[in-house]
Amino acid sequence: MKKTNHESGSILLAVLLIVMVAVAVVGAAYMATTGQIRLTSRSADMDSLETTGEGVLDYAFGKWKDAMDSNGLMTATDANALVSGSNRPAVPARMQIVSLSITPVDANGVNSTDAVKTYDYKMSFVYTYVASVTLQTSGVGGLRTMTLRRNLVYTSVPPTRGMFFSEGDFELYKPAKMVIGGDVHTNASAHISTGTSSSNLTFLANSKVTYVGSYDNGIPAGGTAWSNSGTNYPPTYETSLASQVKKVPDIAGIGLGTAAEYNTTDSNPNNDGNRELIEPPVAGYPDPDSIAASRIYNNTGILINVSGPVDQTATLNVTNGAYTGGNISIKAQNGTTLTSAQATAIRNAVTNSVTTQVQTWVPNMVWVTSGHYTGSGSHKTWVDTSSWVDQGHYVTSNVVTQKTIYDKREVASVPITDLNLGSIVPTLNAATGFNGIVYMYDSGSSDQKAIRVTNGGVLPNAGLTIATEDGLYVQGDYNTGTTTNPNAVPSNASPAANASTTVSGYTTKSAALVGDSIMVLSNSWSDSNASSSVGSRNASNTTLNTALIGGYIQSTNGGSNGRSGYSGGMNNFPRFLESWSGDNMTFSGAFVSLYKSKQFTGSWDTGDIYVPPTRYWYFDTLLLSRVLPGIPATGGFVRGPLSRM
Amino acid sequence: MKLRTLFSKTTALAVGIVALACASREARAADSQHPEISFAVQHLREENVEGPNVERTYFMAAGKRVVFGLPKGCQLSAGDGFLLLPTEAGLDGEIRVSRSSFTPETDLAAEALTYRDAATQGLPKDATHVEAKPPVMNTYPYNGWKSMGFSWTYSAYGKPMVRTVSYINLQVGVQIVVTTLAVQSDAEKVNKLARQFISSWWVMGDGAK
Repeated sequence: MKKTNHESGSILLAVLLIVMVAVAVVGAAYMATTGQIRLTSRSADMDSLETTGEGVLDYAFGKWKDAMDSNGLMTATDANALVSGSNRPAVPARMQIVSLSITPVDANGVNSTDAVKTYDYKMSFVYTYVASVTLQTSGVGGLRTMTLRRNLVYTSVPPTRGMFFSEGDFELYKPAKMVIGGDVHTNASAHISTGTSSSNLTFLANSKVTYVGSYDNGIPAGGTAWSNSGTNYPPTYETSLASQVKKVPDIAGIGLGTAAEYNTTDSNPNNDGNRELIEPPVAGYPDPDSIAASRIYNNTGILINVSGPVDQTATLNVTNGAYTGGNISIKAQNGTTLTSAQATAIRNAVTNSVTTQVQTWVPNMVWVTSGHYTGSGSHKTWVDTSSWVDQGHYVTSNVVTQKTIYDKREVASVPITDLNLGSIVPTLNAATGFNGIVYMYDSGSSDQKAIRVTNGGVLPNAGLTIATEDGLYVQGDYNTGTTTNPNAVPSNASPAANASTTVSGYTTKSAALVGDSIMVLSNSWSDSNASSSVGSRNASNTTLNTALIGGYIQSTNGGSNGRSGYSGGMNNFPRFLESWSGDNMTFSGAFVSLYKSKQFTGSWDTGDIYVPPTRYWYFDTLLLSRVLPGIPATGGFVRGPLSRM
Repeated sequence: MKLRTLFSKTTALAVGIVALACASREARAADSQHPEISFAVQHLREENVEGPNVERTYFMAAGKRVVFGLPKGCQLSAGDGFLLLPTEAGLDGEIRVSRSSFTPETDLAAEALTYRDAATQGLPKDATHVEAKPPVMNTYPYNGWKSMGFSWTYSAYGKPMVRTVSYINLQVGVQIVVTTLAVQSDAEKVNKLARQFISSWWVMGDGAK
């Protein structure tokens, strides 16, 4: 059948229409797909940029933290050099770092050429840097660029900025009644409980408890075998547990950069931990810069080394820059100078010798034959009574030895060297360039020895840190304004909450006592009673205005001498050796427990050792602004939130 | 080896108990003039003024509780005295604590010869190569107690031995004797255990003013 022209045109038109529709559909589909691809590609690019940028900033944080640990605070130039040139990290292909910087900023976030103390919050000085990275990538549809920033924060915390700073566990296990004001921080865990009722242990509203490990109201670690009658009650938090107790990052190291150097597994004895603060460096081994910079031994103005019984009649000669003679050397350093007369005055304040008459037996063992007969006739028998007899004799001589005091907790007579502080304050005030630090140690005695500070009621005008690697006894009032009349101190005469801890008109000086362990002896302490029963060692009201920095004993399951193994807790960080029953120990300052005691390791107990005082203990808020001579800060590093510009 | 050590220690413990029992006859003879000491081990649960409560272990001397702790690595037998045997494998020695036949009124320094003669009596008759060390004051320098110690080295059955005898005046008016006996190679460890043991002692009082 033949088709007409009209019919053929209609078919062509229809085909064209179908083709046009198909093209339009395909075109629309193409357009839609391309847009989606572009959108998807852009999103993927941006995700990739953000992920990479975050990684770059983490890299910058690591470089910055390591450098801060090793070198301390940095300028903008030094900080930027950490991530410049070849120090920049690699990024994925088709991506490049347009800019990467680390810059210190001030309190308003404005770039600075030097590190700026940007915030002082409670216990902390804060230094903030900003790490910024701009990344670019070329993808579908063109270049993508992204800028990310993150704050890098170093928090510097002088450990004396709270009532108690503890490197080890913070423990309060059934203490006698206590009220605590001021912040508490532990780099480990907090075990806080009271044995009678919650009201027996109260943290005031101004006391925040921060911990790194865990927090509980149970028995300290190692104490599962202790005799544990009754219930452990949680303490009372004046505001609330939630607002006063917080888990925080570690505040590690004593002195900027020290934590990164600590290593207890290598053979170097100069990098073993916080205790380096009080130790002289061991010769022949490297002393890492940051640790060397924090050693009080290195930073002291006056270095006193006692090597035996001090002869106060000996002439002091200058040897290697130190006044030396009669088993003592006194060296002025770090800008401090001493005249010969001043050195002699200091020597005269150091006493540790006693003369005793000694009888020495010179033995002579002889077998003496003796015996007798018994019986008679054929029953006569020889009874041998022969025996060894010592036929020696005594030789008498005078011997000068080092004085000791008996420490009931250590069950040992401890070689002790006294520093009569009262007699050298005028010398310290007059000494040119004195930086307020006295480091004193006994290099002549064996493992366990001590320094004792006496007559410390009035301190030098510029403040005073006394430090030693040995045990440190402080006898009587400290930094109260009087060396002669303890009852002139209101907190001694009429102990009560908020009683003044100084005599009228005296302003406390910046003060710290630093040692292997800190033993507090009262105004009534007598060496002659040291070994008598606790009932004979009666204390009297005593007041201390100082930071105490020392060592701790870790709680264990069973201690020495049949003792429980409990550390004694924070309330026995200052160790007592008297019966304080009915007496008060008033303290205004800060407790800093930085390392394990190495010399004074006797387990805690009450028993024949001490009867606790009524403790009026306060955090000295002046320590929020005061710099204690020679006491470095601890530090922590924090990454701020990520910001996309 | 371990069996031998165990046997050796068991034997020593048995001999020690017998010796303590025998010594008691002499001690009983002196009872009328000496303050009473009872080495019976007693326990007292004490509520501490702070920290964990404690269970005190003590014996009685002159009516006072003398608290003590047992060093780690020791086994204690009590009769008319204490016998401590180290439990560490291979550690060959013993520590005896008993009442003295003297009283604190017999001055340690002034009557050193008397004490020395008494202390010498315990040396075995068949000892050879006997050497005495000079007496030492304050061998157990704890709690202000006065003490004086004697020591000898000698050879017995081919073994080099060290024997020490110390007289200690406790503050309660009682004198005790601490005797250590060990082979020379273990003497330092055994004497350290003895010092740890005696250093844990303290006389329980009221502690309050």
